[in-house]
Amino acid sequence: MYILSILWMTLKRIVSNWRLELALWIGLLLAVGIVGSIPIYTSGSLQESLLRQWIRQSDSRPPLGLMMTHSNNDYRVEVDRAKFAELGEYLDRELPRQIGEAPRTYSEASELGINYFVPEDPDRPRPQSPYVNIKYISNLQELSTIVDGRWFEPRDDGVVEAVVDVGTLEGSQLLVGERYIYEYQPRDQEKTVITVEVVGVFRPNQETFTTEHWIYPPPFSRSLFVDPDVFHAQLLEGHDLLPSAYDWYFVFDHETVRVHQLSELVAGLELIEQRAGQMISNTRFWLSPLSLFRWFIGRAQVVSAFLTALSVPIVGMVLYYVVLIAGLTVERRRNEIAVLHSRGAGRFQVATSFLLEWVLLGVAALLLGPYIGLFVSQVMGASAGFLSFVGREALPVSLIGDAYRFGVLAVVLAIGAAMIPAIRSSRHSIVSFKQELARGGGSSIWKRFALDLILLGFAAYGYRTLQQQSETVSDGAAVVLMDPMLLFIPVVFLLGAGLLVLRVYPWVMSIFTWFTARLPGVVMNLSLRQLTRNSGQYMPLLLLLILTVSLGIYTASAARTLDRNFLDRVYYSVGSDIALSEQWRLPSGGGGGELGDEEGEGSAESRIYEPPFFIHHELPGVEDAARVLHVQASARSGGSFLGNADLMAIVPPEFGRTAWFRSDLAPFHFYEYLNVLSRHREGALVSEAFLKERQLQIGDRLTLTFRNQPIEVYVAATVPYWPTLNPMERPFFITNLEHVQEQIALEPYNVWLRTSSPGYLDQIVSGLREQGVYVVSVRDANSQIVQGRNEPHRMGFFGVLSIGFIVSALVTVLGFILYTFLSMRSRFLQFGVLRAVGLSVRQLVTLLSLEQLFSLGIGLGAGTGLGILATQIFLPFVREGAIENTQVPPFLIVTDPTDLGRIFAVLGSMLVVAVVGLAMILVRMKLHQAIKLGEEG
Amino acid sequence: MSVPSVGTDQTDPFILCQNLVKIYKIADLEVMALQGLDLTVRKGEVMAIIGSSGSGKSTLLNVLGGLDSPSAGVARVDGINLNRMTHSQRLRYRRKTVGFVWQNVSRNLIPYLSALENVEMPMVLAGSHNRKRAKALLEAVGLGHRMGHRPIHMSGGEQQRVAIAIGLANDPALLLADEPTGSLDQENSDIVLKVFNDVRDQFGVTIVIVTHDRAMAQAVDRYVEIRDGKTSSEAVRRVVGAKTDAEKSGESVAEETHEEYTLLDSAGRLQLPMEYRERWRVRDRVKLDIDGKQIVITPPTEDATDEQVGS
Repeated sequence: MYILSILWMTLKRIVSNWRLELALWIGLLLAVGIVGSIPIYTSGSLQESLLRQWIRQSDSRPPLGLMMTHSNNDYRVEVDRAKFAELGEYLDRELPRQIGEAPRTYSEASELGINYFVPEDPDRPRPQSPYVNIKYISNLQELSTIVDGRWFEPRDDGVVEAVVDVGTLEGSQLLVGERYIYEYQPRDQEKTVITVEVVGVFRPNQETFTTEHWIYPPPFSRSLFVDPDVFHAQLLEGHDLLPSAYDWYFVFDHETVRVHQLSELVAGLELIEQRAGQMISNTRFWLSPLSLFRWFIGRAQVVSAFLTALSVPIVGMVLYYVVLIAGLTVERRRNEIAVLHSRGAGRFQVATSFLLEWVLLGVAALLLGPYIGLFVSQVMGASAGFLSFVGREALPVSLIGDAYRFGVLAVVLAIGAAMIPAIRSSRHSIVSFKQELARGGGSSIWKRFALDLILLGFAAYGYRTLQQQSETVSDGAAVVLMDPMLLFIPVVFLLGAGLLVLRVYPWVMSIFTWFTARLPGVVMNLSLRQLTRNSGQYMPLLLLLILTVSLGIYTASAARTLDRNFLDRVYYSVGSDIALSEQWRLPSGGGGGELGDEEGEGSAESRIYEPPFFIHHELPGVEDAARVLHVQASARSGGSFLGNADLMAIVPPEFGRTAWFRSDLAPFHFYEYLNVLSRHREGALVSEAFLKERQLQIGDRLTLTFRNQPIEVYVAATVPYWPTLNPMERPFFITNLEHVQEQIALEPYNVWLRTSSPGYLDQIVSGLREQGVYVVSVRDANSQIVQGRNEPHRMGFFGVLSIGFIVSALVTVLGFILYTFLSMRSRFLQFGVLRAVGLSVRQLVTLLSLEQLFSLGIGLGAGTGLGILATQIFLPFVREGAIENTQVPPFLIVTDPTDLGRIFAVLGSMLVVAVVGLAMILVRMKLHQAIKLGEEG
Repeated sequence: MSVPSVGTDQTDPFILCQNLVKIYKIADLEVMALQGLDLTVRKGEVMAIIGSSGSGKSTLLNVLGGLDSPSAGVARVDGINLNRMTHSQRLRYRRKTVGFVWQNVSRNLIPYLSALENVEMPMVLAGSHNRKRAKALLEAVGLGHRMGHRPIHMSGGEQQRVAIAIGLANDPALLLADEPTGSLDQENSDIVLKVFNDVRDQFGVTIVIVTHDRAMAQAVDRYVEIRDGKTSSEAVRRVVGAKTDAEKSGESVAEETHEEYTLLDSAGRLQLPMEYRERWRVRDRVKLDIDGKQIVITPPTEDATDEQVGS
C-alpha cells in the first residue's frame, strides 16, 4: 500500500511533466541503443567472418568436430579401465549441453597399439610388414560394407575375429580366413599373445565417406578392426590390457554457434577437457576449434574495444544531454522540492523521489533500447563512409545478452549523471532556494575553476604527445584503424575551446548590444539584450551545438582521410583497376602455332608464347589496357654492384591511359614522366631515393641484369613513387617495354586494365578464356576495396562516427526545442509586458526569431570554425593502424567540402523540423494574446 | 479555553524564544533578520504575529518550523531545542512536530495530486500512511466532498483549507501559517480563520499565524507585533466573563476585546515605537519616573517639550 502510493505519486508526477520526461526518456533510450549496439554489431559483423575463417581452417574436418583423445603410447600410464565408459558417458552428456544441441554424429574408437604380428602357422606367408594395430571404430559396420568374407562375430574359443579394409589388405599380404598371432608387449612387461582371425574385407560406403562420419578417415594401413564388445570384454578385460589410444568423436552443427557465445563455449569446453584429464590422464582435445575460438574472442574484444573507445564521446554527449534535461526537470520541480522539504522530506527522500522516477524511465528505456541498438548496428553494417551508406546484405544481428547488460550499464550511468542536479537541488531548503533566486545564478562551476583553460591545457599536452609519437617510429602496436586518442584529444580540445567561446560569448554579445543600441529600432537591441543578460540559459545548448558541429567536421575529415588513403593504397598496389597475369606456357605440342616465330628460345620442357594483347581492348567493360613487365633485376654501374631493383617495363601511352597515379606522388605531372620515357628509348625513370643514395646523375649509364641478360639503360629522370613499387624496399627502374624486349628473351608481362565500372572481372576472365587465354592470377582493386570496406572494424568505425553525429545532432535539436519552449513559457509574462508597452505581434515574433537566429548562428559558426581548426591541428596525426612511416603511397590528409555539406544538411533539416514545431507551439501558446498579466511565475 | 496571562508564566511555555538572533550573510553583506527576539506561546493557543514586510516575521516562522536554524539565542518548541538539532532530528521535527500552511498555493499543494493524495503525501514522507485519517482531516476542514479534486479545480479558499489539512497530516503539536489568507477575499478569509479555530478545538494543536493583516490578527486569542526583528507589543483578548456569540464570530467585537501591551525583553528593555519617538522627539535617552502606580517616561528636560510619554 505504502509502496504502491509512492509509485502512484511518481507515475502521476511523470505524467504531469511529460514533455521533459519524454525528452529524458529519449536520452536514456539513445544511451541504451548506442551502448547496446556495439556488442550486437561486433558479434553480428564477426559472425560471418567467423564462419568463413572456420570453414577455411578446417577444410579436412567438419568445423565443429570435437575429438577427445587419450593416448598412452608406451602403456606408461596406469588407467582404470572402467573410466573409459564413464568418460564416454560424461562427454555424451556434457558436450551437447555446452553446445546446446545434439551431435550430428558420434563415434568412438580405441586401439591396442602397433605390435608384432605373424601367422599362427609359421609356414604360411608372412605379412609384408610384421606389425599391425588392433582397433575398433564404434560405427564401423554402419559406414562400410563387406566386400569379401563376412563381419566379425564374438567367439568362445579365445580367437578374435577381425576385418580389414582394402587399404590394409593391399599394403600387406594378409589373407582372409587366416589366423595370426598378435604379440601385445608393453615395454619391460610381459608379452600377451592374442590369436586373431581375419574374416573379411570392408570398403567404406560412398555416401558416408566423409570426415564427419569417420573418426579416422579411410584408407587405413596395418589396421585390424574387431568387434567393440569383443575389444572391451575379451581383450581389455579378458587379457587385462590397456589401450594405447582411446578417442571419442562428436560432430555438431557449427552454424548455430554465435560469436557472442564463444567465450562461454570456450570456458565450457576447457572445463570438460580439464575434467576429462582428471578422469583419465593424458586425455585432451585432439581436435577442437578452441584455438580458433580463442583467436576470435580476442578479435571480437579488439573490435569491440575499438568501437567502444570511439563511442565514448557520443555517449558522453548523450549523458550531457541527459544531465541537461534532468537539470531542467529539477529546475521545474524546485518549488515542489521546497514543498516536500517543508512537509518533512529529507534530502534522501527528495533524491529518492527523482531516482525512482528515472529508474521507471530507465526500465522503459531498457524495454525498447536494445531494439534501437539492433537498428543502429544494422545502420553500422551498411555504412561505407562518414554519413554514407550502401545496401549490403544485412548483418546477422540478434538481441544478445550483452546488449542488455551494456544497456543496463548505460542506464545506470545515465541515471547517475541525471542524479547530479537532483542531489544538488535536494540540498536546498525552501529558504536557500528563495535566497538563490534573489541572488541570481552566480557564475558556473566551470567558469570558476577555469575548466576551459584546464581542458585546453590537457589538449595541448595531448598534442605534444601525439607529436612525439609521430616522430618516433610506431612499434606496430595492435592499434585498429585509428588510435582512439586521435578522437579523445580533439574532443578535449573542442570541449575546452567550446567553453572558452561560451566565456567570451557574453562579452561579444554586449559589444553587439552596445552597437545596436545606437541603431534605430528596438527589436534587434531587445533580442541581443535578452541574450546577453540571460546568456546562462542558452549556454549548455550552445555547447552541445558547438560540439556537435565541430566534432562532426573533425570526424568526417578523419573518416574521409582514412577511406581515401585506404583506396589509394589499394590502387597503388594494384596499379589500375585490374591487373592480370596470364598463362604464357603451353604444354609441349599445344596450340598457339600462329605465333610460332616467338617460340623455341624459352625453356626446354614447355613452349612459351605471348597471348595476343589486342584482344584485351575488346573485353567487356575494358576502357584501356597496358602491358607491364615487372621483374627483379640487379643494377650495376661501371662494374660495381648497386643492389637489387625492381624493373618495370611499360609502353608509355598505354600506361598513361591505364595506370592509377596520384598527383602528389611526384613533383611533375604523371604524363611528363611518360613523355620523358617516350623520348628516351633507352632511358629509365629511377627512384629518387636510390639516385640520391648512390649519388648518381641524370644521364648516368647503368646495366640491369635479369637472368644473366644485361639491359643497358641510362637515367632519364627521377620519380619518388611509382604504382605497385615501394622505393623504401627496393630501388626501381621504369623503362620502355620495347627496349627491354629487344635485349632479353621473351618474358611474360602482366596486363593492367582500366574498366568503365567495377564488376566486370568475371566477364573479363571468361572472355579471355574463350579466346584461349588463361588467367593465372588477378589483382582486382574493386574486390579488395569491397573486402576492406566490409571488414568489421572499418565498417564499425564509419558506422559509429555516422551514428555519433546523427545522435548528437538529434540531442542538440531536442535540447534546442525544449530550451526554447521552456524559455518561452517562462517568459510569457515578459511577452505580455512587451505587448502592453506597445510591441506588435510581428515585432515580438521578429524578436524571438532574432534570438534563435543569433544563438544558433553563433553555435553553428563557432562549431564550424573550431571543427576546421581541430581538423588542421590533429588530422595530420591520423595514420591508419600500425602502418609505419614507410607506407606507400604516402598518407594524404584530405578534407572534402561535401562532408561539410552533409553535416549541415543533417543538422539543418532537423533544425527546420524543430523550428516548425516551435512555431506550432507558439501558435498554440497564443502569443498574440500574451497581454494578460498577473499570473505568477 | 486557554486563559492568557501576560508576562508571568508558571508552566513551561510551549514555544519559548529568548534573545533570538538570526543573521543572514549574503556575500559580504550581513542582514540581521532577528535581533534578540523574545516570544512565548502557550499550548493550545491560536496566536498571530504581525509586522510589516522585512520585520523578520517570516524568518521567525522559518526558525520555528525547523527550516532555518537560529544564529544565537534560545528557541524551544515543545521541549525541543531548535538550536542544537542534527539533520535527522530536524527532519523528524518537520515530520512530527510541526505543520505548515503557506500563503502561496504552489507552496502548499502539489498540482498533479488530488486533495486526498496531497494530504497523504506528508504521511508517506513520514512513513506512516493512513488514508482514514487523511479523509477525516479533509472532513474536518469541510472538504469531505472534494477529496478527489486536483488543486486546479478548487477555489482559493478550498485550496487553503486543503493546506490546513495537509499541515495537520502527521498530527503535529504546532501548526505554522504564513499569511494563510493573504490571497483570499474577506468571505474566504473568515472561513479559513474559522477552520483554524475549529481544528484547534478538535485536535488541540497550537497555531501560530504570521500576517500583516491587523484584522486577521485581532480575530485570534493574542497577537504579537514584531518590529525590526524584535517583538515590540502584544495584544491579548480581554476576558469579559463568559464569551458572547458576537465575540466568537466577529472581528468587529474583537477590536474592543484586545488589550495592547508593550513587551520587555529578557533584560527588561522595552522599545519605544518610532511614532512615539518622533512625536516626543526622543533621541537617545529618556527619563524614567515612578509616579505612584505608573512608570512615566519623560524626554530629557533640555528638550523644549515636557509632554509625557506613556501612561
